[in-house]
Amino acid sequence: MIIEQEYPDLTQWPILTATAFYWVQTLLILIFLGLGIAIFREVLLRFLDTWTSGGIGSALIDLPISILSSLLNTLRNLAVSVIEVLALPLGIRRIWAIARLSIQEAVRRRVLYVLLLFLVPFLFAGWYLPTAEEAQLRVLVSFTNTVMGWLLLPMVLFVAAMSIPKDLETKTIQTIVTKPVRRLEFIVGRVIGFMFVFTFVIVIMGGVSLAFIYSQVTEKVLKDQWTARVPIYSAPPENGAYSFVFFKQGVPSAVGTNVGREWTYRSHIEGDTSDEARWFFHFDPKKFENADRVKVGVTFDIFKTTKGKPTLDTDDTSGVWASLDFIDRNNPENRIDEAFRVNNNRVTMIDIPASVLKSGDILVRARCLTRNQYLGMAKHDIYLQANEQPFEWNFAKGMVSLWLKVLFLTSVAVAASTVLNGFVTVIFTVGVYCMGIFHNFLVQVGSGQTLGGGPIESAIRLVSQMNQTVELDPGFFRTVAKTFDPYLIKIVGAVSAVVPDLSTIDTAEYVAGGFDIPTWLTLRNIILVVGYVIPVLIAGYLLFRNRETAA
Amino acid sequence: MAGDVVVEARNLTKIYRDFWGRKKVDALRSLSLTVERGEIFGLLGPNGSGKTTTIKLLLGLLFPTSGDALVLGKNATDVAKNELIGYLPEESYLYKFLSAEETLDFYGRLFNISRAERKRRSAELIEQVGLSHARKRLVKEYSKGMARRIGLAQALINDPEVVFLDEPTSGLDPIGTREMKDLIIDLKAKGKTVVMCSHLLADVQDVCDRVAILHQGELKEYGRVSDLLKIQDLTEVRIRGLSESAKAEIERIIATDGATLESMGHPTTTLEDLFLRIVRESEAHPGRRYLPERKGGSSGTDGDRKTAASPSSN
Amino acid sequence: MNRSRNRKIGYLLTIVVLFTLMIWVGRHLGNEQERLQIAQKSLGKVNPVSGTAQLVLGGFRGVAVTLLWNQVQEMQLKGQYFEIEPLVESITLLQPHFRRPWEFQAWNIAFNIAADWEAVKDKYYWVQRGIEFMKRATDTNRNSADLEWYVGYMYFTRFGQSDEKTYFRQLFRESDDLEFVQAENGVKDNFLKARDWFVRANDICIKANKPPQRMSPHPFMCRPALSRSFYADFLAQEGTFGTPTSEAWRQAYREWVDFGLLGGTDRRQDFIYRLEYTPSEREKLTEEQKFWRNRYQDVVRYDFWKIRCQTEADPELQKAREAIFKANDARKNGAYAKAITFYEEGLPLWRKIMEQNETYREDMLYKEDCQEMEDDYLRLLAHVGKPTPARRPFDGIVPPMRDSLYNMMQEEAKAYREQHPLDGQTPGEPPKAPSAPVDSGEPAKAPSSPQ
Repeated sequence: MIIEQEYPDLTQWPILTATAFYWVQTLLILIFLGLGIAIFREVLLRFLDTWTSGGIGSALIDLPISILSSLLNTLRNLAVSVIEVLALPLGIRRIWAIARLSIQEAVRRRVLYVLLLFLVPFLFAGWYLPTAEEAQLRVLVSFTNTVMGWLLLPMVLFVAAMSIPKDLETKTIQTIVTKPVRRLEFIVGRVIGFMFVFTFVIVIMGGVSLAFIYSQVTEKVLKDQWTARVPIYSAPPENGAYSFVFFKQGVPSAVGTNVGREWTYRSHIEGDTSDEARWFFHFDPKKFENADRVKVGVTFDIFKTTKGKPTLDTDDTSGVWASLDFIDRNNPENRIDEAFRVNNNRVTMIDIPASVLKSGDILVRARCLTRNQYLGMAKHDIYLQANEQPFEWNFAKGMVSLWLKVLFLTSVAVAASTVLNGFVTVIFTVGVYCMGIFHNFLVQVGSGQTLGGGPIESAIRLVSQMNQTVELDPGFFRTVAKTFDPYLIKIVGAVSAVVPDLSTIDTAEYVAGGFDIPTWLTLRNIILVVGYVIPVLIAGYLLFRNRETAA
Repeated sequence: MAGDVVVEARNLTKIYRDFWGRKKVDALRSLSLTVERGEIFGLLGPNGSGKTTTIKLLLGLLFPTSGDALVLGKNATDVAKNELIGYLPEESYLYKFLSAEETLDFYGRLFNISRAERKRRSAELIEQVGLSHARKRLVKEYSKGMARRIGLAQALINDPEVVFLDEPTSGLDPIGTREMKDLIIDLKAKGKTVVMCSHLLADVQDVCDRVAILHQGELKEYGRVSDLLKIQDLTEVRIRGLSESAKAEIERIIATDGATLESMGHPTTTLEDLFLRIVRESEAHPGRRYLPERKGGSSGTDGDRKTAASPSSN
Repeated sequence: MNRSRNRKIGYLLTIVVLFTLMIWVGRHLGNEQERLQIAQKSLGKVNPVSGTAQLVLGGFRGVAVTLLWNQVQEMQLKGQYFEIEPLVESITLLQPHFRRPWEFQAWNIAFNIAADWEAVKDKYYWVQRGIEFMKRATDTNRNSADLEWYVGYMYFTRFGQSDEKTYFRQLFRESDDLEFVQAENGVKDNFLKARDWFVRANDICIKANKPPQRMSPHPFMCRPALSRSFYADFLAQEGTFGTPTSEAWRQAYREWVDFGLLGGTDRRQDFIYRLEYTPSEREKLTEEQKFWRNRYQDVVRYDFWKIRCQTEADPELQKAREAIFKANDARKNGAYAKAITFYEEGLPLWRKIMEQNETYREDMLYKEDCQEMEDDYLRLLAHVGKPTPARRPFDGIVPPMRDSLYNMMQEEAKAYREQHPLDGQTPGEPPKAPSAPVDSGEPAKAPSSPQ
């Protein structure tokens, strides 16, 4: 499958430490920002009050006292907060009481009727599902994922964002906070309760989706694609080495020939030359101990410099021919040579004897055999199939991504709703979510890499329909843009630092492609989101603590 | 009874501001008062006088602009104090999708009360507030009076030492009001401290040991109800079966004494008069503590009474 | 108090005024929609999903479409073709009545995506997806002549004029998807299928008496006749001769005449000009009318097609074509003696037709055909060592192929030099003596071997 970006394995200790540092930083940024604003506001108001009542002189004299008392007050508050955060586990029964309440609320308010709404798209689904067998699973999985996302996320958003504002509005919060419930316990209880409900919804939706997919695909797809292959990808033979390398005229190189494809994921080697690509595989030799034959999946791109005559796929002249050499690195005598035809956009499965893999230290050499044509390849284009898992289990693992998104939305919405009203919370949360999904773009804007300048400049271009590459005309607008854009860009950069990159937690591609979702990827996603949710909830707690719950 | 202060307000001030920090209302100005253990304390005032604000400040629902609110020796914003207090809000703000039993069970859980204990107490409280027939019904189906009752029950679920009641009798029929008052007195009998606020003077007069009268955020009058209502230069005589000659004789004696006969007849609700007088006075002289007139007026139509209570006397 | 009341009255009045206005405008718009036939329901099949999606997104519809469009572009780069389809579908659900997204994406699927697949079967699959996508456009936009025409155009070009046409047409004939491949007259042929769509497009134009927007009426409306002609032509190219092919040509002729009789000069001037007149009618035309008639017939080569249909329907020509077809076939299979016999049977027949027909003699296409036949024949003779006949088969009708190519290039080079006397020289220098460009003779020198 296509893996464009490899993520650091978050479960590794050094990386985990770095990530933890990132969360702490996020938390600190949020706290300092919030407290700073609060202190500033308090001091300013007191200053203005004293000014109106006693003149500027007394206001100025009062100023240091007011700053000091504000600071002390804040510090005392913080100290109490830290204690409450640390004491959170003691409130487990109260948290559960709140969570239980949230579940009861969702059930009795018929929130679960959204499940019925969920069935509607399936009525129309048959309309535009493809007939090609190789497309069915792909389209069905992305279809069900989209439907689930589009139905679940708004529901999550509204349920989570409206709950605390509703408590405030109906003043039920007043009977809660006058009980020994800590406000952090209240927030966490709410989130946990909602997550129980949403988990239930996800399980039901996932089950229905799976049944739907199962009912829609044809026999052949069930036989061939209803699986989750566990691939072994190439790995560096020794520390610091490449796991995948090109050889152009015998010289190693990180990339092959550039044939001018816009998408540079794959690099090409020329046919009928000495050019080749090499992969190093390094794995536990026991993996294939009991196997007789091993399947190898190959996905190469073909680039033809001559079109040739049109061919049916059965013709010998169709496609481009490639050869793969599997060589035991410990015993070069132990090798096997496979030639096969590559047709575009298709995975070729080849079957090799397991004996050649028995050392667990393998070199694979690929060459293009057809003259004048090119083969494009990338690191993840060859894999050894170690195992197969049930598709259903993989589908369930894929649901974890959706669950994490729901957790993220719930936490952000609940935290934000402690200070914002329901509707603003919804908008805010959607905003944060979009920033998470389009995080790459945000980073680009924040580092000033986008074409067409910063926010103001872009706005001017939008309105004036001016080309992105032409300098703005000198004048008032240009001055405004050039003056303020750098600051705005810095702000966007800061925002991009506190919003997590949600685009990376998607695993639908694995499920649809029939590849097992690696456990470390699931773990990484969980760590990424849960680790983010904790500071968010703490920030929400601090905001809530400093909020009056009655008007 | 004296000396054991459970609730204290020191120079409690609350200013409501809008989003931009502009002053909207001075809800409360420098309120100082204490409530002692075992008494029923009433906060009295017209709508918008600051009594509910005071209660909310004491509960930590609002944060004071300046001054301190202490409950059981702890800051009002300290959650720990909540273990020992109960609160019945102005209207019963309850989760409408829960039944009476579930409501009490839920609030009981918030106090970490064990399951058996929760069951026992909620049964007891439902019985006490007279909702046994509706224990399984959802709160949203309750009438206002029933909601008040279950509201009171949830305030008492933890057997609190101090109970804050915001307009406890509002929405209740006369019998309900009577029962509520009995309940309050009952609480006192059990040694609880009750802080309540109301604009229904009869309630306050009937049950409260001491009251504070607030108007426009200021404390106007504060003291024992009996003291406040004792009118030093007024003597009320109630006689049954008095003959006309005896009546003339009494009038003569009064005239000899240099006093005037104000009225003879059925006395009106006394606290109401005091209250109206304070409000009128306060509107005429904002920002001043109520000063009782030394000499009574002569217009009988006003039903004037004079009180001798002065701020310093407390 | 008073001010607040006044303000409230003001609001109320504003509400009432705006509401009244809204109702009035709404009703007006509704009437206009009815009148112009652009109301949702009169435009075509209303898709509930589409309606809901539009409603839900409201003003964000445009933004959503832009995002989807970008996503499609990106996925196409990465070769995620199967995932593109639902996305494209979503775009058209959101903007069902814009012509461009339909056409662009249908073309994109049938041409660009199909081209990225190697095997003909895969290409065929994507061409079919593209055309079916376009068909949905016509469902959603009823009475759009342009969209109906485009479906026909895709059937016509993609299956009938691409490199893979031989395979495509074979797969087309073998397909079981009758709804997709079977024309109304029951024949599985892409040109006839295209013709059905072109006829529908024409009917819409004629019924509404509105010219098409895509292009001027003549090239638009000649398509049914053209498709029929191509059908007949491909029958011959694929080896069917005699009565069926003659009949196909005759039908094509009738369609051309029908097309030529469409409309008339008294109709709206910008819509349809008649191309077909009886000689007596032609007499009466003014000079200007004659000029335009000739101009328009040139655009679609009306006169040529008419004559071609007539001639091709001729059994003699069918015989000639069959002979040459067999000759070529035999030659390609190495049966040279047999090939020569067929050539010698076919070429005289051809010559007779050329002699009889002045239009053919002037037509570049036929001239080239003749040159090619002659060349194939002569080279075959040379290849097997037979003597060249004293007289070329088409002597006096067309110049020999090599000569004509060589001469043509010579003439072009000469004309070029005359037009650009100073090309490649600094001003002031005398022009170089003209010399024959070396490369102009190249193609003539490279003989292609008879396969």
